[in-house]
Formats: sequence, structure tokens, C-alpha cells
Amino acid sequence: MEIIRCEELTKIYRSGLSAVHAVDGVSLSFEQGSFTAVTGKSGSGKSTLLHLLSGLDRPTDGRVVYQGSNLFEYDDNQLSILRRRRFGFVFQAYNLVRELTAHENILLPVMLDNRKPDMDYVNRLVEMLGIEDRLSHLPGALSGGQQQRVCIARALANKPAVLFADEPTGNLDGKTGREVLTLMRTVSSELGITMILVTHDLGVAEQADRIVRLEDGRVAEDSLGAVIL
Amino acid sequence: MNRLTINRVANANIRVNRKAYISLFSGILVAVFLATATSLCAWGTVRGHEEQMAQRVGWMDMFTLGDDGVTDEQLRRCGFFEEIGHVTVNAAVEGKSVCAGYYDETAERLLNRTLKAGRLPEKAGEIAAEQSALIRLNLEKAQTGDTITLSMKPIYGVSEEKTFTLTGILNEQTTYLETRYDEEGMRFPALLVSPEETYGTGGEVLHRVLTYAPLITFNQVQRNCPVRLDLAFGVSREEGKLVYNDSGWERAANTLNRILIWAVLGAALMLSACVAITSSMETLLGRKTEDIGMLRAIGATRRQIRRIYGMEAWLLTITALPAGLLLGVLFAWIVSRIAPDQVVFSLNLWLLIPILGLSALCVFVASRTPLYHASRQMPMGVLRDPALLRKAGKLRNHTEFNPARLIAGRRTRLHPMRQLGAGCMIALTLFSALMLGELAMGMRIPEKGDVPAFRLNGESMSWTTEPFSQDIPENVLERDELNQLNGIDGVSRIQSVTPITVNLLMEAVPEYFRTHRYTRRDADGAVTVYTFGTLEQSDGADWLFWNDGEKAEARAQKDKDWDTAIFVSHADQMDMIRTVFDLTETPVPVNAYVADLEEDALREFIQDGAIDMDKLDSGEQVLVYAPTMCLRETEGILYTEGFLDPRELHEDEWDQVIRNDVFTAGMPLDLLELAGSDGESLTWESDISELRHFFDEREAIRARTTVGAVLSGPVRISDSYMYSFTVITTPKGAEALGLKLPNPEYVNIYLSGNQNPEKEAEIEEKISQTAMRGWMDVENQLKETREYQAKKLRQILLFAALILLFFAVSVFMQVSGTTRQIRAETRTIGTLRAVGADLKTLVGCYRLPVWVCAAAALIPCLLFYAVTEIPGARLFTENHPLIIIPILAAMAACIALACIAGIRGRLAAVTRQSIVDNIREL
Repeated sequence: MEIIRCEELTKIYRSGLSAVHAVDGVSLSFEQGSFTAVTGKSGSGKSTLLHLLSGLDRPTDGRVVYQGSNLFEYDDNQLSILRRRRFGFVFQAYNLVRELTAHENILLPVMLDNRKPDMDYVNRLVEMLGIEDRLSHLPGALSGGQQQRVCIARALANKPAVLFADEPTGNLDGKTGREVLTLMRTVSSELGITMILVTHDLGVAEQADRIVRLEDGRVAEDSLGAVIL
Repeated sequence: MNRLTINRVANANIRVNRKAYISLFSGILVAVFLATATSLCAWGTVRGHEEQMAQRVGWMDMFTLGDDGVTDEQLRRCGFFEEIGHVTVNAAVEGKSVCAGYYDETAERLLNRTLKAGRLPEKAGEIAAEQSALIRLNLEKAQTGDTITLSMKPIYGVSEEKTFTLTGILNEQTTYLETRYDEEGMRFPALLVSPEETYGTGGEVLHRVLTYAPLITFNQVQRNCPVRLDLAFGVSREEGKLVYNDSGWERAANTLNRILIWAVLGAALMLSACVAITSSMETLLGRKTEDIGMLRAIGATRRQIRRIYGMEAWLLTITALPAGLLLGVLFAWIVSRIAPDQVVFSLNLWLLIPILGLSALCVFVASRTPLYHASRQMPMGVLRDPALLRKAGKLRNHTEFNPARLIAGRRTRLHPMRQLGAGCMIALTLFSALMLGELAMGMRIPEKGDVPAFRLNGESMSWTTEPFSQDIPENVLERDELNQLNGIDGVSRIQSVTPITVNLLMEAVPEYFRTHRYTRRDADGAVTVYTFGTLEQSDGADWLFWNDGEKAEARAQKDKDWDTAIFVSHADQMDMIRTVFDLTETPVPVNAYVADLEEDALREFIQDGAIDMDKLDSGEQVLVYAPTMCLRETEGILYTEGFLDPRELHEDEWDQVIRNDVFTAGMPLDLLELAGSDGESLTWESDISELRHFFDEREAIRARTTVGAVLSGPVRISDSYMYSFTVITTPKGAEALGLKLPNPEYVNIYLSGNQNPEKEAEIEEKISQTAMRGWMDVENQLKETREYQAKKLRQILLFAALILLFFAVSVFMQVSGTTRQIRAETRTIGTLRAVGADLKTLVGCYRLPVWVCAAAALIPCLLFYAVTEIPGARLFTENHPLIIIPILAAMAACIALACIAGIRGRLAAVTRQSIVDNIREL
């Protein structure tokens, strides 16, 4: 069953007279519970595609349909509510709130939604991610790998329908990266979360159910279908 | 990196970012302009006031009356004086104390004599006079060109008739330089004649006008000048009057007080300029984070970073100087055109020192914080902030929380000083509002009729040197002249108060007049003796009760004890009075008040008898104020009370009580006034022959009357409270009793209804003429009240403007501070948005510190009220804290809401960008 799709998605960055097509007419559909890896060279538009799919950025053209509704017809508040209830996002640079402890960062989306956190679930997440002894520390006191785990826990804390991850292992060494990815996979499959992951690491991409390769903002290859370009 | 390279970097920065520097340049330009404008206006205010005062007392610092054998050479050599001018007095108008004389060139300049009309005399037979002198000579109608004939008495010479042509009317000056030293020629000439004017007999008296050498004050001259100057008087050019004590501080304090308004205004505006400079610099340096990071990475020290970017500010200051100076001068010139009476346009090169100093201070202070922040920047450690981690040690983990509140709370706790500047500004705003409230409440206009419109002050005219005698100086106003004041159209009534000394002639001195003593031993064993009694003599009137033996004993002691010597002198005077005036009774010196009485005001204090105004006016009766004096010591504090109504007195509450058991209504009183007008006085050393001579010269006025009513309690006549035994009568009563009166201590003149300004000026003119004849000063209390109210209104407007300004600056500081924070935290904002925070939540993250800041700013105001509630420290009584504090709280809330609205606007602008733009790596 399709959960999210994009149609003719285009993002153009203009600078003076020149224009860069970061994403150029991309149409993709994602099934619920699937694990998709978006790959491509640097500058191929994979992060931009992820930002557009998750509603973090607005496209120049095209639309993103989540459960039948176009994301970009939502106003800012509706989008905010959608993001805190249905989406999770793992940033390459972690992006934790530095004034909040690891634990508070994890609970942030639930608290923003004014809900009571499911502490059993959160504790299990924390346990699975192996950060239970770092919870009362501020992000500044955590290593890169620990911060990434906190970021993943935060993205999963609200039991999202879709988990977007932008190079989640990009700043980690190979072993830690693999561990983190395995965790994400495990949790996602347990909870039936759709996972869309951006990576330029083919080793990581190979773990996905589906690999979408971008080149110059267009889909060059989709392992579900054939080579498009 | 050497200095040249740093300068090059600084110059290059300015060239490349020209547009970005415009706002910083503007801030610095405003600072220079404000420094120039306020310095010039403050200086102009001082100069303007000095020029006004110079009309009165000239440009001198002090003067001496009579030369006392001192030469100019001695004065020059002592190093205390710079300029010395001479005023020669060679005659006075017979019996009028109005002197005539001439000046040398220096004195003419230092006295700054100006003319209302005509010219100064140039040859013998010409004269110029002050208007007051003409009034005193009954020549008020005289005009320039008129011929006047005066009976002139040359100094120590024989009177001669002289005819002069009146060439000019001088502006008033001698009144302001009047020392009341009543010896021949010891006044400044109110009549100016030519040096060629000569008299057949007599000599002349030389007065000197002087200016001090730099840094010399009147007190230094008095204490340290090797040349002995007996009759030296200081002149306050600040107040336009004589001073007897001037350490220089008073003058400095007065000058400061005069320029306070400019200082406050300047400080407030300069503060705003500082804020603008700080803000512009923070923004500018914020844009250069990468440059600074790069410079730090290649080895620039923090000091070098501060120098590079500080140099920019100084270069801009030098560039802004000419334009700022010019604008400031233009502003001061415009102000001097608008208010020529208040501010004189005057340029002085010395003013460059405060101008440059203030501008530099402003730029230095304003650039310090941004430069400090810039030099502390660590571009590689945005997340790993060691200071933050250090403080974070005590954070408590929350499992359920409001994210906005928690983040805001943490920020406030982790960066408590971030809001300090804005907090101080809000506190300043609230404090100004508090002051405004106080000023506004102080504006209450007194009820009409309560306050006399004019008041004539006679001051020391009634001063006496001996307990028994009454000095009646020359130039006393006739009672008729005073009564004529009542007849001026528009005057409803006058109330004069003339205290004199009379003697009660008594067969035996009653115990009621005995001086009581209370001896107290302190914890450390020190013994203090307090005297209290019903007579005015503060040290005691024991000598009234002495028998021969006690007197002899006191006489033997008199060289050892000052009080005893005085007492012996008084006892000798008493004996001499008995001898000279052949008295069998004892003369008891008491106060007497001759005043226009208000029967209604006195009625409640009657202990015995009744007030019959007709009998008082006929001299048949007088009133007697006979206080009940009480004393007690409670918990080591001594209380004395003389205002108790004896009918309500509980004697057991007091340690000592002196009750009137002598004076009753209907009791006959024998009064003796010993009047003299020769200005002589006695000292405690005066011998028997001096005493005899003194009392031989007194005119003894005996009068017999009866006590109409006995008063006690807090009796007030006009503005004066009775505080010792006093005989009270009316002017008519005094006249009927034949008592001789000096000038009243004061005369209050009340107007009927509101008079228009022309009428008021006309009344004042008539009153002034009478006052001048009696050498009395006139206070126009209506004018003073109006000026006071106008001054208050100006202060209120100033405070209101300041509050608005402070309000705007507070909001600006708070919003710009938070904007900088928002700019630095855009990525966090993006993160929060990415995990689902809406605008309301984001505003919540920045709202709490604003409220904390506004609430903290209320604390100084609350403390202020707390302090004023301490007994003895209460500064203000007008406003109730329960009224003013909610107003201040509402004002603090308004500031906070305005700040939050501004912050919301900034955050809305940030959220209009995409989240990706927010979180994009720098």
C-alpha cells in the first residue's frame, strides 16, 4: 500500500542568471513499511529530494502526496503537526537542541504534540540504541555516534509513519555506521515504519529493499523498475 | 602580525563592506553630535545664567569694604587674587544710607554696571542713580536730564547741599551687594558721580572688588590669605548674592545642578547612541564570523582581533568627528535662538575636551562588548560549548515538559547575563516613571488664599545683641507706610510680624521662669546637662534668681566658664538698668510679637480669658503665650514638649513639667522697652562705665496693660510658631502702648482673587517701592509658585520624553539582543521546526527571558519603596506604593509585550524561510 509519493517534483536553485536543477521532475512512490535507499554522487540532489519529500523544503514544481493529500497545500501549522506526529527525520549533522539533555531531545516531538510519552517504548528504543547511560547529558558532552543515536531515538520516539534519514552514517566510522543502520532497520521493521534513507555509501544502500539512484536531479536507476536513464 | 598589517586589514574591511558600515557610522555620528550638542548647551546654560547674574553682582569673586591699611601691592603679592578694582565712596545722602562714589576702570569692568537709561556721569555736577536709591530718596519720579538737589554728607565731613543733573538710571546692583554693615560709607555707591566731584570737607572710603587667582575660593582667602581682610565678602556669581562661606563645592554643585537637565538628557541619548553602536557592531561582526575564525585559525590573538575590528570603530569616529561637531554646534545655535534667556551660544576651545572625551567614551564602551564577543568566538566549537557544559552539571532530566518553557528556562539559567543590558534599561524606564509620578504628585497647587502673593523680608533688622534692649535701626518703615500696603488696589489684607524684646517688670521673678536642668549619664559615663525653660534664653536665665552671694560666687568663677561670664554680664546689665532707670522691680526680658492677629486661629489655644480685638488695639490688653514645658527620658531618648495643651496633660507621663501658675487673664503687666538706634552693642567684657553709657543712651518706654487671654499649645501667628513665653499684641496695640518697633521680620501680603499679570506687576511695583524704603526684600511668591510649576512641568515633560525614549531603547535592546540570538540559533530553530514546533512554540522559547527581565527590572523600584518605608528614610510621601507599583508593573508588562511582539516578528521572518535554509550548515 502506497504511503507517500512524489509527482514531477522539481527544485531549482537560482543564483543571478544561472539556475541549478537540484531535483528535476522526479516521480516516485513508496510503499508502507518499505526501506528505500536514495543514492547518487555528491550534488545529485538526493538530500534535496529527501527534504522535499519530508516537507522540510518547498519544491519549485510538482507535489508530494502523503496518504492522499498534497503536503504543500498544508499551512505551516498543519505541516508542523504532520511532522511531529507522522514523520521522523535523522539529520546528517544530528541537529540536537543543545540546551536539552539527550533524554529531553528524544522526547521533544512527543512533548511538542502535548502527549504523554510511551515511556516503555522510549526506554526500549534507548536500550536498543545503547544510550541509556548518556541520557542526562547535554549534546555537547556526547560523541558523534552517541548524538546520532539520540537523533535516531528522537526521530522514532513519536512512532512515525515515515522515517527520513539524511546520511545517518555519514559522520560515523564504518563499524558504528553499520550498527546504527542495523538498529534503524530493526526498529523500523518492528514498527512497520517506512524508511527513506539518503546515502552515497553503496554498502549501506545494499541493505535497503529498494535503491533509487539519482543523477543530476533525475532518477537514473530504481531497483524496483529498470534503469530509467 | 604587525601594526601596519592590522591597519591594512581594518582599512580593507571598511572599503569592502562600505554599505554595512553606514549604520555603524550613523551611530558614531549621532554620538559625536549628542556629545557636542549637550556639552555646548550645558556650557551655554551656565554662561547664560552667569551673564544674568553678572547684571546683579558683576564678574567679581569677592569685595572688601574699607581698605584697613592693606595695600594693593600686598594683595597682589599674596597670590590669592588676580584682578583688583577700586570703588571710592566719598559721600552719603544725609540720613538715608544711600552712598555716592565712583569706580576705577577695573572696578567698572568687574562690577559690570549697566544702565536702564541715559549715560554714566562724565563731569562734576552729574550723577547716575539706581532706581531703588531714587525711591529711598523719594525721587521715584525723577528722569534723566532732571536736576536734583541732595543734602550730601561727605565721609566724616559736614553736610552740604549739592545740585546734580541726573544723567542715567542704573540697573539694580547695590541691593544685591548689601552687607547691612551700617557704618559711614560702608556700602557700594548707588549714586555714581564723576571722580571730579569734590566736597568741602571729609574724606573717602576705598572698597575693593577682586577676582581670585585660579583654584582659589573664598574659604581659602578667609583661612589662608596672609593679608588680613576684616570686611571681606564672597560673591556667588552662580546665585547672584553674597556668600559668607564658599568652599567652591557649593558653586560646583550649583553649576552641576543647573546643567543636570542636559546631563540627564545627554546621558540618556548617549546611552541610546551606545546601544545603536553596539547593535550595529554586533551585526557587523556577526557577519564576519568566518573572517574572524580564519584570522584566529592563522594565529591572530584575541587582542589582535579586538584591535583589528576596534580600529574600524576609531577610524569611523575620526571620520564622523567634523560632521558631528558641525551638527552639534548648529543644534546649540538653534537652541540659543529658541530660548535666548536660558542658553547662550558660546564656543570655547576647552569644550573640545568633554566633547572628544564623551564621544570616545561612548564608542569605547559601546564597542567593547561586541569586540569581546568577537574575540572569544570559537568557530570550531559551536556545539561543544565548554561554559555551557560546565553550568549544565546540575541540570535535572525532565520526562514530561513543555518544550518552549524548558528551553527558555534553561537559556535564562545558562545565560543569566544575556539580558542584563536590556534589564537595566527597563529598570531605568520604570525608575523614570516612578520619578515622573513623584514629580506629578508634587505639582499640587496650593489652595488660593492659603499662600500670600508677596512677602517682604526684613531679616536681621530686628536682631538684638543684649537680652534687655531692642535695637531700632535707621531706615525703619513708618507704620503708616506699611498700612498703605493694605490700601493698594487688589490687596485684600496684609499680615506683618514684628518680634521685639520687652522687659516684664516684676516684684519677684516667678519660678515659672526658672531654667530647669536635666542631667543624663550615658552608658560610657559621660554626663550631659540639658537646659529647658519657658524663657527664650537657651543657655538658661539663672541670673534672674541670683542673690548677692550667688552673684559674687559667679563673678569669681566667670573667667573659668564661658556661660557663667555671660550670666554675670546679664546680671550686671540688670543691675545697671535698675540703677539707670530707677527701678524697684526686676526687669525680665521676654519676647513680644507685634502682629496682625487672626482671632479665629488663636481661639482654640485660650487657657484663660478671651480675645477682645478692640482692647488689644487700644493697648488696654495684651495676650500672653505661656507654654507648659515637659520633659521625659524614655529608653535613653530625651523628649521635650512645649506644645501640649495643659488641660490634656498627664503629669505622670513626664519626668519634669513646668506649668504656668503665674499669668492669668486680668493680671496687670508692666512693660519696659529699652530702645536704641545707635547701632552700639555690649559684649560680655563690657565694664560698668560702658554699661552705664549704653543704657543712658536707651530710650525707656514704660507701658502698663493687662493680660486679656493666656494662650498655650501649638500657637502659630502667621508663619511663626511660639516656642517660649511671649507677649502678643497688634500693631495698633503696640502703637497705643507707645512701643518702638523695628521693621517687621516679614510682611505677608494677600491679594483679592486672581489678578492679571499687568495688575500683579503694578501691585509688585508699589510694594517694591515701600520695601526699598525700608531696605526690605520682596518675594513674589505667586511668581515663584508659577516658576516652580513651570519648572516642574518642564521636568515632567523631560521625564515623559525620557520614558518614551527609554521605552523605545528598552524594546530595541531587548529585540535586537534576541534577534542576534535568533540569528545565531537559526539552526536550532530549524531543528525544532523539523521535529514539529510551530511559531507559537518558537516564540515561547524566547518569551520567558523577556518576562524575567521585566520582572527583575521592577525589583529596584520595589526596593526603593521598601527603603522609603523605613522610618526616617522616607523620601517620598506623595504616592502610595499600592497605586504606583501596579502602574509600574503594567508598564513593565507593556514593555515585555512590545518586546515579544518584536521577537515574534523576527521569528515569523525566520519561519518564512524553509527549514532546510534554517538548518543549512554555515
